[in-house]
Amino acid sequence: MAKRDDNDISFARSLRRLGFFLLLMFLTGLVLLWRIDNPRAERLRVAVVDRLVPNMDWALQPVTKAARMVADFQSYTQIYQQNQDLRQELQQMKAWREAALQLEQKNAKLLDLNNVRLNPKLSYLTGVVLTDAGSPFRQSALINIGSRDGVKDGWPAMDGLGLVGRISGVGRNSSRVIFVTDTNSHIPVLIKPFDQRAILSGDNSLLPPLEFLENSDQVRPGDRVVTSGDGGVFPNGLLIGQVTQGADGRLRVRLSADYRRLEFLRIVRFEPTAPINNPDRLIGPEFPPPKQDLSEMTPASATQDGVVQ
Amino acid sequence: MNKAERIKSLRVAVLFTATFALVLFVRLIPLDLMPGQIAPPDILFALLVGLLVRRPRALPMVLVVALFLINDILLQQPLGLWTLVVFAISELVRGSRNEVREMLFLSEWVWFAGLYGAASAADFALRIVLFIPREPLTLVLPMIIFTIAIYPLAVLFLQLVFGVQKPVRRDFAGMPSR
Repeated sequence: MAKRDDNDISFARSLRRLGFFLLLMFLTGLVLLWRIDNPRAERLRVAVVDRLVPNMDWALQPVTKAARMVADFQSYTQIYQQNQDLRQELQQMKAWREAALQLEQKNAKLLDLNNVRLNPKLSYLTGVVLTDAGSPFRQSALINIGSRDGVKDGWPAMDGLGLVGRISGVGRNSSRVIFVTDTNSHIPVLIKPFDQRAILSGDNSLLPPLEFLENSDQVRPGDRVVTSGDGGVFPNGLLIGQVTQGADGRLRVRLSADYRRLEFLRIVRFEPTAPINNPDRLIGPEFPPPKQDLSEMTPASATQDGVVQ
Repeated sequence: MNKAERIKSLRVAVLFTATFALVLFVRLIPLDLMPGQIAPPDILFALLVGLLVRRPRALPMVLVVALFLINDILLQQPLGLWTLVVFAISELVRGSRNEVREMLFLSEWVWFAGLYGAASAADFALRIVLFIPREPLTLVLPMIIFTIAIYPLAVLFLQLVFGVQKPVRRDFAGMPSR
């Protein structure tokens, strides 16, 4: 440094200072953009992730598989115990299967007698989990199917049994699934058998709490929790889990989905009745109602709700 | 002398980028999707500060910003918020590196604790100002403590793998550098 000219040093220094301020402005601008036009910034993020992560697939998959194999190998030590448990469980399952088959037949007969028309069954796509959120503050995963495969924002994701989360952010080759355990997840649920409505809010724990419960007297630990379909964001009747009482005495849900071994996710094809075309819009019915309806209104009804005018 | 220095700096920069990518990769592997884990220490911040004290030439501002921005994007953090904090802190470290170099390691450690505390506080304050949801303190506090605890390990890693050390001053030559 001492060998250089004073001019040289001061020039380099002012150049540095300029660079510092430019970068500082750029970052401040980015934070503000993210804060103000969040959907656009998030789309930017999705685009970058979509470019980066599926290209790392060749490295991600083998490492994940190898690490899983090591974990599995450790469990070989308890294989005998596991085998015994599984046999016992299988026996119980056979009894349940028998009961279910009989009930199904009976149900089909009754439905036939009543001429009930059922909803068509939901179809699904399957994707492989590429990465997790990478931080303990977020509960989400990136899967390897995206808009190329027809995935849309808002579709529910399940493992074989229970609800895992929903699609939030779709890139071309990848999309992000926000888990029901994430703090941003709030799902309207129905608690069987008394059809109590509540909201399942994620809180970064494996046992998310039930909020806004109508009547907690009619909910007992062990009751089944399914999606209610309120708000039209989720189809109704997807299994979520069972009610359980947390250590703090709150009613929580033990999730049926096995988060320990999430490898594949089923993305249920579902056209929400409330379209999620604008991420920044409140989800729900269109508001205000389209103008056509107003013009078609008869004068009598228009005066009735004159407040609307 | 200049050329050898430059090559060494370049080597350190490449090594830092590779370590950064590796840490990010490991964090993203979907091994455990269970919620309620303990927050891991912020290794990247510890490495960055350790390196900025020892060899600031190896880390141009643009590299710091680019790496931490990628970190923000991939880990679903508020875009650019933590990068902004880290960038400001990193320039602060660059400016005061001469004083830090003269410190014994123990005081450098205390200085680092203050620095990381300040960075977390700045992040917290910015989140309040911009109405960004804050992370729960029960997760953040252990993370701060872990990060401070691993700083000596990060410095040791820098010495062993990167081969960078604090330039020892003549009049401090007798003091242990670690």
